[in-house]
Amino acid sequence: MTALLDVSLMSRILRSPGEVAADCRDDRGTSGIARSALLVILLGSVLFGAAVGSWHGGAQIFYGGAKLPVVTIGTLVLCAPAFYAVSAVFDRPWPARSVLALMLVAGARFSLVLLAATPAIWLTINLGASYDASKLTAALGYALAGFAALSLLVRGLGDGPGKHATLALFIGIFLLVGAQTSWMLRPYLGTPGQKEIVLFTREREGGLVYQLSKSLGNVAGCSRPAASR
Amino acid sequence: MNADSVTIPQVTPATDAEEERFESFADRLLRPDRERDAWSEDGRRLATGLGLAATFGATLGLRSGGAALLMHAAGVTAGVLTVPAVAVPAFAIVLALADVPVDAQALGRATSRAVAKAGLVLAGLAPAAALYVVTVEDAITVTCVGFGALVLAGALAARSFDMDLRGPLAAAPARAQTVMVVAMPAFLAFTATLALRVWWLTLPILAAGTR
Repeated sequence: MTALLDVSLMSRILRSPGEVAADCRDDRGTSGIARSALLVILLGSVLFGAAVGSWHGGAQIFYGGAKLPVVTIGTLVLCAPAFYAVSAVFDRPWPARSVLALMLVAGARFSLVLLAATPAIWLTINLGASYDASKLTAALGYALAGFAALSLLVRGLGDGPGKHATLALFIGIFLLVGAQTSWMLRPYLGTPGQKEIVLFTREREGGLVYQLSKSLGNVAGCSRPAASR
Repeated sequence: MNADSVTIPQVTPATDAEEERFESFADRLLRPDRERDAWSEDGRRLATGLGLAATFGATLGLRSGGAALLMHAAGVTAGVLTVPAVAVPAFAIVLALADVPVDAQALGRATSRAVAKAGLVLAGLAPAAALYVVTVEDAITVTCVGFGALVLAGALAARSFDMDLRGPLAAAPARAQTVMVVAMPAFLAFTATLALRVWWLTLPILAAGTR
């Protein structure tokens, strides 16, 4: 495990993201970086997913833990070619190997923040938070992790023309792909009012943005009462 | 176990020792100032860009499958190809009439680089587009994703074309530069309209969401 997971690298990813990003860009030890990053992505996503699934309990814990790594790694895989192309068009024609390493390191930083958010999510749910409050807390944890990963990518892009355009495009693509991937594999918390635990929901529910805004309305108390488990 | 202990230490020194820059596919495709850069090089770049654009088209065709893959691949390529085949020669004639000192080689290089960049962006967006094309239920979302990707690639190609021609024009007389202030936006607007019209006519998936 210690051979696979470089703990000092994790510390560098959190404390000195610019240095790690430069290593990826210059193709210095990228195979070791990628291996450790992948392991952390898996670990962070599995635990966060399991904590989210604890809202419903039972098999949902395993489903949540199994689905979230697929969402995270799937999104990275689908976004990598776009990141390669967009950075090349804006005068950063890096090798695909560097781009992949940079994305994995950003994913690792994302997962480390998810890992840190996991106990807070679990406690919130354990204290009896409603479906909507749990959903929003999980979305907040995900957003914080996203900002942490973004700050690494900003450093990874370095200075030069087109930095902001590259970043804006990449955020847009990542949000679109991430939203659709996670929407496809829902539910993560479980379905309110439904005793039966299902691996995937196939009902028409209006989309991710609609669901988040509905939960905001419910938490603010201007719509219907919170759903029961 | 042994393989790991032998392989890992070798990787880092090898890459550290190689101070020379590794040339990526995108770098080879887009770099403008190479000794070999001539008409053949521009032709190769143009063909690669069109091939990359075709992969995005095939992705759009995944929703229907079968012949739609080929039809959409051809449609996206046709929209991109219209620019160097129709719009750029017209632009060259206008520039020559106005006596703007841009030679055919510079125009060809700017065109091939713009097409290559559009192709690269479209191919890069293809996996993300495939996710939407295959999994989204409503047609309007797929139309928006396909249309958005084509517009984005077109905008980036237009930016590249404009920037590549600024270099040769930097030392041009003030009159030529004034002509370009009007001619370039007009050309880019014309190209955008032309490409969008071709895509609208040849890509059934774009029209599907509006019916």
